Parts: sequence; structure tokens; C-alpha cells
Amino acid sequence: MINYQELTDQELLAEISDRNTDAFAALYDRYGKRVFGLAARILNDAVKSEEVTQDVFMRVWRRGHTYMPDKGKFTTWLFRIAHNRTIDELRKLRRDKSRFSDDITERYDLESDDISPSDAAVANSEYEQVRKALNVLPEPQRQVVYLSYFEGMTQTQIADATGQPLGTVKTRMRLALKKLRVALDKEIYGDE
Amino acid sequence: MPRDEDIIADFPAYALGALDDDAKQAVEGLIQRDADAAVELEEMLETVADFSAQLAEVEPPATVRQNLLAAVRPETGVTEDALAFSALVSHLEQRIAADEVDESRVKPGIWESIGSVLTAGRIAFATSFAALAIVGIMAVQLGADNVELNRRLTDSESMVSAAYEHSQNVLEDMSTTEQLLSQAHERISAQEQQIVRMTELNDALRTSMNDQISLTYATLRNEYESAEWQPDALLSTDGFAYLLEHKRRQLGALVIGGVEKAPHGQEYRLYLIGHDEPHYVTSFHVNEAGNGTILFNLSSPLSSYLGAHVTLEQMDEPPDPSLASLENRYKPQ
Repeated sequence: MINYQELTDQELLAEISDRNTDAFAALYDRYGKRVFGLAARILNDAVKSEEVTQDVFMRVWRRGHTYMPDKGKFTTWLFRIAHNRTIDELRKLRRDKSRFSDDITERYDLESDDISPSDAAVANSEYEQVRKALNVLPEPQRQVVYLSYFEGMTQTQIADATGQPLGTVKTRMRLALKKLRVALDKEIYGDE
Repeated sequence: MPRDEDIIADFPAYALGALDDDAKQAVEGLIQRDADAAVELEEMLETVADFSAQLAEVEPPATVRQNLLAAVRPETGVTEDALAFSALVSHLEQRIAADEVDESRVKPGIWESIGSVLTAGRIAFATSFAALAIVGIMAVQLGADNVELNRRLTDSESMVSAAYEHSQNVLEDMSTTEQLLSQAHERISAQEQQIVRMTELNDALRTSMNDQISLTYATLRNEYESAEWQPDALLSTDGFAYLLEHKRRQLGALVIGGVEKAPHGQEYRLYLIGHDEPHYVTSFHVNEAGNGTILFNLSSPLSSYLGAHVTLEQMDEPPDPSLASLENRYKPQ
């Protein structure tokens, strides 16, 4: 009787490639909460986060054999899929919301010159939630990581939105990732 | 064609998911041909992945796990029916293989025997007609061979009979399998119908929620609020109407939907009910879909009224608030 919880990620993936559903369940139990947490944090929508989580693990089931251990860690592969899928969903939601807002304006002709500050309040609240996770970074770097990782903006969009030159955005992203690496090494490995 | 150093400058954005498709393809093309670049990118991807892993875990609903396992199980073919079918096929294959082995043992023996008998006969005839003793011996031998042949034929008959019985069992097994497959098919059909029904309900609920959300959104965005005394805005199960009041201006709005378009020569009229006579506010029409948003000036706040009243009246007649309202009046709580 195999205890799947004791198998490594790669051993579980090998079993999954042989269509072993118990191994698949064990892998989900190991990473399901983190993938769901990532999606929920970015999307702030439980139903969509469930869809994303299911899609991510279905991709592991169907395409797990394409993961190449010599190219990097399994978690890198998994969380990259999860983040990309989440950002795709976020962008889709934004497009839908944009269309939805246009529909509303047409449908309910209650035009007013003033704009409610509720959107800004929501954005600030979300920003506060993730600020802690990024507090190792100086504000300019934190901003570009926040806007890209959590808001799904491309570097060009960030440059447009913040009025910074594209080159500056790129440099800040690179510096931010270096600082994050050091901070994560301390967090994960206890490096000095 | 971007230079390699320009592409490498995009690595952090690639890791953070902040590149458009063209730039992404350029990065992926570079790491195919530059191993050092691939290592550099992998380090950044790992950083982002580790960052992702550091975000708080959130317990997903149990249905996510259930749905996933339900989705992958059919792909493995590990259903009870499939297992039963697989076992049956394996069993049949073994039995057929065993039969083939038995037949291969028997058949050559018979033909060898017949061949040897014929050979023996030819030699006997060619050697001497006079050798009656030998003929006698041959006859005895032939008789013995005949007995042996009969015994083997009997054996063969038994084997044919066993094979027939075996084929009957196979047919029976196949029938059972057919029944199992049929039952599985019925279950799948029932589940498909349930899914279709749930999808329909989900769509209806989503539409209804979108209506509510969009109205709330429009109300808040434009600084309206609903009248406090408006307890239940439903006109009927299909229709709705809400009275809104602008927070800063002396403006009111009636948002109405799900009503029939007024017949030719008729129009809807809105009255606000005060402590005295109902106060005629405005006439209005709805669009083809039965929806309308009617803005009107308010001489006093909505809170000073007791309710509202919508009638369908002849356009050339003066307002008559005594006519029956659509379904019900909007009354204070």
C-alpha cells in the first residue's frame, strides 16, 4: 500500500503520468490551498478562483508529462501555470466588466458628472492586503510588482499608467525580483 | 527583430506575467538557443513561484477536489463497469488461448495416425498379395487404429461440446457486459441532463444577479439612493420598479422593467402619494423590452411621500390617479 503523502512531487507526477488518481489527489492535497489562495488573492472572486484551481490541476493531469525536472522545480512550473491562468482570468473579468459598465450606462440613463470613489477604496483595500507580502521592497519597486503580479498589467501599461519610462519600469522589476529572492531565501532557507 | 540583450531585459516582466504575446514569444525563442539565458530566466521564475507559494493558503471548497477527481476518473477508465469489462476480456482471452493450445495438441496426433495407417496400407499392398498372414496382421492393426481413431473422435466431440458450452458462457458474459454498459450509459445520460438543468438555473440566476448588481452600480455611481419607504419594489414575478432619489439634486428616477409596452393611444403615468391627493408626476413609455428609466423633478424629498402609483391611461385624457395601479401600489413599511 503506497502512502502517497510521502512521495516527492516528481514521484507523484510519474504516478500521475500513469493515470494514478490517488497520486493526483495527493498532489492536489499538497498544493490545492496555495493555488486557490493565489487565485483568490488576485481575483477576489471565489467562484472564479475555484474555476482557475480546477483548470490548473486539470492541466497538471493532462500535461504533467511535459514538466522537465532538469529545467526547474515542480513548484516553479505549477505556480507559473497558476499565475498565468489567474492573470488570464483577471484580464477576461476586466474586459467583461468594461463591457458590463457600458451596458449599464446605456441601460440606466442616470449619468452624473461626479465619479464615486468606491473603486478607489476597493483598490486601496486590496493593496493593503498584499502590501505586507511585498513590504521588503521600496515603494517604487513594490508598485511595479503589485501592478504586474496582482493587477495583471503589462510593463507597457504600467509605464503608461504611472508615467514612468518603460526602461525604468524594467529596471525596477529586475531590482524587485533580486530583492525578493534575497528575502525569500531568508524566509525559506533561513539564509543570512 | 529585438536584440538578445533587449529580450533579456524583458525577463523580469516575463516572470511576473507582464509581457504581451509577441515579447513572450521572443523570450521563449531566446531561451531555446541560449542555455545561460534559460538559467537566468529560470531563477526569476523560481523567485516568482516562491513568492506565490508564500501567499496565504486558502482552503478551497470541497467541491473543487470532488469535481477534479470526478473529471479525471473517467479518463483513467477506472470505473467499476470498465474494470468488470476489462476482467471479462482478460478471462476470455485466457480461455481462448487455453483452447488453442489443446487443439494444437490433438489435431497433429489424428492426422499423424491417419497418415501412418495409409502409409502402412500402401506398403502392405505393394509387398505381397500372398502374405495373407501379414494382411491379417494389417487388418488387426487397422482395426486397432480404427478403435484409436474412434476414441480420438469421441474426444474431439467432447471438446467441441465443451467449446460450445464455453461459447454459450461467453455469450452470457457479453450479455451481462452489455447490460452493465447500458446501465452506465443511462446514468451518464441522467447526469448530463442534470448538468444541463443546473447550467440553465445558473444562467438564470446570473442574469438576475447581474440585473440587481447593474442597478445598484448605476444607482451608486450616479449618487442616487432608493426611497426609504420602498419596502418591496416588485411589480409582479416578472416585472420590477424602483424609485430612486438623487442625493444632492432635487431629482427622482423611476427604474421600471418587465412591463408591456403601452398600447397605441395610451401611456403610463406616475403619481406620488402624499397625505392628500396623489400628485401627478409625469407620463412615460417603456422600450420594446419593457424597460424604462424616467427622471423627474422633485418638489419635495421622496421621504415626504407615502408611496407611488403607476397607471396605464389614455393619452388624451387628463391624469386620473383613481385608476388601478400596475399590480400593486408602492406603500410605506
